[in-house]
Amino acid sequence: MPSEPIRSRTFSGHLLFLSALVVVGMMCLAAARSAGQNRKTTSPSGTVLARFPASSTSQLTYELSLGKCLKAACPIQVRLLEGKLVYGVATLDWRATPAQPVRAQADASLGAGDPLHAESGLAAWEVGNETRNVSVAAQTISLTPQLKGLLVHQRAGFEHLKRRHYLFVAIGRKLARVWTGEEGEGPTWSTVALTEPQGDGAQQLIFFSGFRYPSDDEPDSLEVTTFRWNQNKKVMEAEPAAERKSPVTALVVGVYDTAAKAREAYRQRPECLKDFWVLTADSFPQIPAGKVGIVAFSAREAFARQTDKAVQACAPALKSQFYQWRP
Amino acid sequence: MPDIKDTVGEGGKNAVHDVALVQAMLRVVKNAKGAAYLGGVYDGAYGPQTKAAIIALQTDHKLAAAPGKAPAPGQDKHAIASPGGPTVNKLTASLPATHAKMRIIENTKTVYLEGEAADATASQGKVAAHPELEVSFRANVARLVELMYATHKIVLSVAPSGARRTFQQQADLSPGVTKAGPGESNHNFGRAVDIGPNNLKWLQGDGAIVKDDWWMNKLSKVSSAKATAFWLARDAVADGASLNLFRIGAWDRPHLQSFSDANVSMSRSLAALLTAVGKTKWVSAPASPNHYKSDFGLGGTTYDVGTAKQIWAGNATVTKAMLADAQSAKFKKVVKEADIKDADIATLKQQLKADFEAADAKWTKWNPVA
Repeated sequence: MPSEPIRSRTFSGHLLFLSALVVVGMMCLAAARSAGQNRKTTSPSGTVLARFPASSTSQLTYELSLGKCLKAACPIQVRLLEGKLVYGVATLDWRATPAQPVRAQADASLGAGDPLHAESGLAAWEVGNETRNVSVAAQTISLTPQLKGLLVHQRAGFEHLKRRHYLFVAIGRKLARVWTGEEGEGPTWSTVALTEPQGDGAQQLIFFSGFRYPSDDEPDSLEVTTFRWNQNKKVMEAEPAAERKSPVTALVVGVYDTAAKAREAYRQRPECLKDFWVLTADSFPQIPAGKVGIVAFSAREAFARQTDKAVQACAPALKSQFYQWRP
Repeated sequence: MPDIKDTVGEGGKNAVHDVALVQAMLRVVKNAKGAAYLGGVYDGAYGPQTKAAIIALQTDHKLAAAPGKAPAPGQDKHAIASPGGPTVNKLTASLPATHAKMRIIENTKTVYLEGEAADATASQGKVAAHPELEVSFRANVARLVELMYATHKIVLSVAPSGARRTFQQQADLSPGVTKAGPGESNHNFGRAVDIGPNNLKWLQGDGAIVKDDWWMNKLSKVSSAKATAFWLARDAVADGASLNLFRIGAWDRPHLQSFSDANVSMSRSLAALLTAVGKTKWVSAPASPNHYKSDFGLGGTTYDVGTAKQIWAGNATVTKAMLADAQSAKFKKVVKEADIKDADIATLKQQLKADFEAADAKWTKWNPVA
C-alpha cells in the first residue's frame, strides 16, 4: 500500500515530510496566484449533465452541470476541465429550483437550431414544472479548425417562455463567456442556428430574435444577426452583410396591403404557418414598401424547401417565393 | 416642469438621475448659435463636458456668480445647478415644446416624457370596468394604474390580448411563446394581465424622442437594464401599496397576476375545474407534467389522455384498450378491445373536449390548487 511507508516513518521523518508538503503547497499557491484565473482546483461539481470536447488538440473539456443548491436556487454551470483539474466555472443567468433534472429532447421552444428545423437530436434537461421550469441544452460550435466553443441554450417559464443563449470559449485555459443572446419582454422568441463549417472548418452562429405582436394591426418583428469568431481579438463579432458567405433563405407565402389582412390570411391556415411571421420591410427588406408579408426564414435552403412542400400540401392556395438574404 | 432633487455640477451631489436630467436638457436646449449646450449623449455621469455645458449656459444668461464668489439672490453658484434654481429654471423654460414634460425616476438614467392624465384616467377606468377580470384583481390593477401615474406620471395599460384569453385563443398562441395549453394559463381565468407603459416616450442619448410599446422593446434593445428599471419602478409602486399583484419570476415582467404561483399547480387547478364543471373526473398525471387523466365518466380508474393542447384539439390520446378496460370495470363484464368501435373513440374524444369547453364557459369557477 502506498501509504504504508509514511506510517512507518519516524517522528522526524514526519516533520521533514510535512515541511516539504508545506513548501510545495506554498509554491503551488504562488503559481496559482500568478496565473490569475487559471487557478486549478479539483472541487467536485453537482450533477454532471454532459461533457463536450473544447479542442481537438488538448484534453480540455466543457462540462455542463447542475451545481449544489443554495436555498431554493440551484446554479446551472459550465466548467472548463482538463482531467480532474478545473480551470474555470461560469454560472448561467437563470438558476433551477431544487428538483431532479429530467432528460428531454430539445424542441423548437428551446431555441436550439434552425427556425425551420430544431435540433431535435440535441439532449436537453428540464428541471422543475410549470412556472418553475428551467431547461438547458448545449452543443459545440467549431470556431477554428482546433477550437470548439460551447453553445448553451436556456429556456425558462411556462406561461411566458423566455430563452437565453450563451457561448463559452476556452481561451488558453480560461473559460470566457464571449456572447449572450437575450430576449426582451412580451411574446418573444429566439433561436440560434449554426452554419455548415466554412472552408477553414469554422462555423458561424445565426441569432434569430423575434417578437409576435399580439394584435391584428401591427406586424411582428424579426432580427437576424450572424456572428463569427475573431481569433485575433478572441471575441464574437457581428459579420458585415457584404462578407457573409452563408445567406439566410427567406420563404414568402403571401404579400398583403396591411398587417390586418396578412393576419387574416394567416388565420385561415394557422396550422400550416406556425413558423411564419407577419413582417414589413423593417424586418425583411424584400417586402415591398408599405406591404406586409408572411415570411419564414432558415439558415439552410433545404429546410426552407422542405417547409414549402409542407405548406403547399397543407395550404395549396398560397404561392411561395424564395429569397437569399444577407441581413 | 422638470426639476432636479439635488445639486448638479462642480462639487454638487450629482445623483445619477439628476445628472441625467440636466444633461438631457442641456442636450436639447440650444445656444445663440443654434448648437446644443451639451454634445454627445446624456448618460447620468457627471464630467468635464457637463461642467462646461452648465458654465456655458450660466454665462450666456448670467445665471451664476463668478467663480469663487458667493451667488447673489436669484443666482446659482458657478458651475452648479440647484433644485428650482435659475440654471434649471432657464433650462426648463428653454425646452422645446416637444420636450417640456421631461422626467426621470430616481436612481435611473433614462429621461422620459410625462404621459397624459386623461390617458391614465381612461386606462384606469377601462381596467376597473373590465368584464373579464376577476373583481378584486381588476380593482388592484386599476389602483396600480392610478398610483403609477400619480407617482411617475407614466400611463400603464393592458396590452392587446393581455387580459383574459379564451381557451381557443390560448391554443392559437405560438408554441415558442408559451407552454401553457388551453386552461393552463392564468390569463384563461381573468386572474392575470400583461400591463406596461404603452406609448411611453423616452429620450435616446442625443435627446431625440422614441415612442415605445407596451413591453419597452425599443429601450430594451438599447439597454435591457434601462428597460428593467421601468418595470422595477412599476413593481415598487404595486408593492408599496400592497396591491397583492404577483410576478412570475423574471420570466416576463409585464405579467402580473392575482396570486403567487409558488405553490400553485396550473394543471391540478385545471383538473379540479374540469371535474367541477364537466361530466368526467379529471386529475393531472403526476408522472407526466401537464398530462391529464380522465375516468371517462365511468367512475373507475383514470387514464392518461394527453396534454391540454391535444385534448382541446380533439386529439386526446385515448385508445380502445383504455375504454375497454374502463367499461369492463364499470359494467363488471369483460369488454374486449375489439368490441370498441372507432366511432366510440371519436365520441369519447369529443366528450373529453366538451369538458374543456365547459371549463372555458365557466371560467369564473376556477380556483388555484396547490
